[in-house]
Amino acid sequence: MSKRREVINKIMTDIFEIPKDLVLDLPKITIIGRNELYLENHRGIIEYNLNRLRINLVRGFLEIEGKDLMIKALLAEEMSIVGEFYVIRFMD
Amino acid sequence: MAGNFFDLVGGVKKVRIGGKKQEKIVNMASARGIYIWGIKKNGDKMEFKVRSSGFEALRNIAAENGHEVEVVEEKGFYLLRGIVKRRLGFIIGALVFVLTLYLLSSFVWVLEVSGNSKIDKNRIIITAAKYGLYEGAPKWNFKGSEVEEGILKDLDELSYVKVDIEGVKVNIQVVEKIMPDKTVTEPCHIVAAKDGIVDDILVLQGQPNVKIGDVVAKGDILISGIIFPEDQVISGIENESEGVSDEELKPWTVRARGEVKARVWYEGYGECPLKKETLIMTGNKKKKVYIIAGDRIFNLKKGNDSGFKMVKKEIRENSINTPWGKIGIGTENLYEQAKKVTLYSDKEAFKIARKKALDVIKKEVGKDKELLKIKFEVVSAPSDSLVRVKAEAEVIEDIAVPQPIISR
Repeated sequence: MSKRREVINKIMTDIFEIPKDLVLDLPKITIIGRNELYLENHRGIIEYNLNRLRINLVRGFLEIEGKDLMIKALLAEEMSIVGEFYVIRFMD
Repeated sequence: MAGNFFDLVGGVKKVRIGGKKQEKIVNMASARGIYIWGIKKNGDKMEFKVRSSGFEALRNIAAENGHEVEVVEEKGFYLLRGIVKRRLGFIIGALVFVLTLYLLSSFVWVLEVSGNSKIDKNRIIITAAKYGLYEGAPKWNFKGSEVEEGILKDLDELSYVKVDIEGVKVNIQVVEKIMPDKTVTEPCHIVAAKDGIVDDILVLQGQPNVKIGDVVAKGDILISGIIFPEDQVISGIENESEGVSDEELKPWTVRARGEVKARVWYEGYGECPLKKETLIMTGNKKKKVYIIAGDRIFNLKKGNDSGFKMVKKEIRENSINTPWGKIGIGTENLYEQAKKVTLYSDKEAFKIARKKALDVIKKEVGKDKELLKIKFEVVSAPSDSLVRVKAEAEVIEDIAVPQPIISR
């Protein structure tokens, strides 16, 4: 059901050329240098410690590995992370 | 975001939570609209900041999940309330000080006028007062540009006015107009300024109307500015027969110039009573010091003048005008006076009266001119209690004055 809706939505955005992050709730990630990351449309934190941060997304999750990670700000839909990043990985 | 001014108004708390599933609490809190920032792991525990307004909700969420919220640090202005209460007097004092400073600096205390040489300073000050600028005037009472315009409009002799406001001091800078010279440039006569006998005449331009030895009255034409062609009548007839135009025959006008010296008379009068009373200072003196505050006067040092029969008062006041009236300090010096009677003989009285009469003449004539043929005449009767003397002196001076020719 949800899978079918997702497919329909995807086709719709392709036809009407609507930004996908708005319609499909896809994450929008902005990385500034290697020390600052800004993430929209997240679904909460799964795991957090100084060296690893896992963030839940609509589908799958985002894993950030690094040093001295810190969540600078946390809102219901957005978050901003600082620290030294080594790896940014999408996982299912 | 921490340390933001508006966050500090409400208050900020730095909290610490331990135990398992710390992330869950953070997620739940942010899903419920609690703003969380500065999340950092510190060993096993997680530290973050939250607004004081959201702290209670966060604690409820934590309690539901069996966690304890530990407050590490608290920031905010509400914490300063204790200090404010303790030092209330100091803070009120500081506020009163600032307020007083502001209030006192919003009045004009000193008013100065500069740049004027011919126009009286007081006239400018009075005109400025008409537009609301005076010593003790509140600054909101007037506008510099309006005062400038007003003064310029009212005083024709000024060409420029600038009102400089420097704190509590206002300086009115003015520039006076330079009026054109009043010397006559058009054709004119030279007329007599006074009655007299012509003593010497020097004509530079024009036709002399008087000779040496003539008696002239004030207003008589001495050197005429209208020149008639020589032997006009004869040449006129000749010209008529020859048919030359009338143009040449008409008298023409010039600007008459020259010097006419004449003997003129000055009269003076002086008198001296035979018995004269004068007031002299006895040297006794008393001093009074007082403070002026508005309409009231407070005596600091009382000087009683009851001991003196006749007193001369000398008052000196130093005060400034404020919106609440005059404020200043004044001193009053009281000098005792006494009567002194002097008796003069007829001769002495005549001498004094003569000198007075002569002084009157000298004052009128001026210092640099010589008095010739001085005559004195006693005009009082011998039975009078005072001697009256009339003096007459002759002076040779220039009586030439230009007078424009009135065109007919």
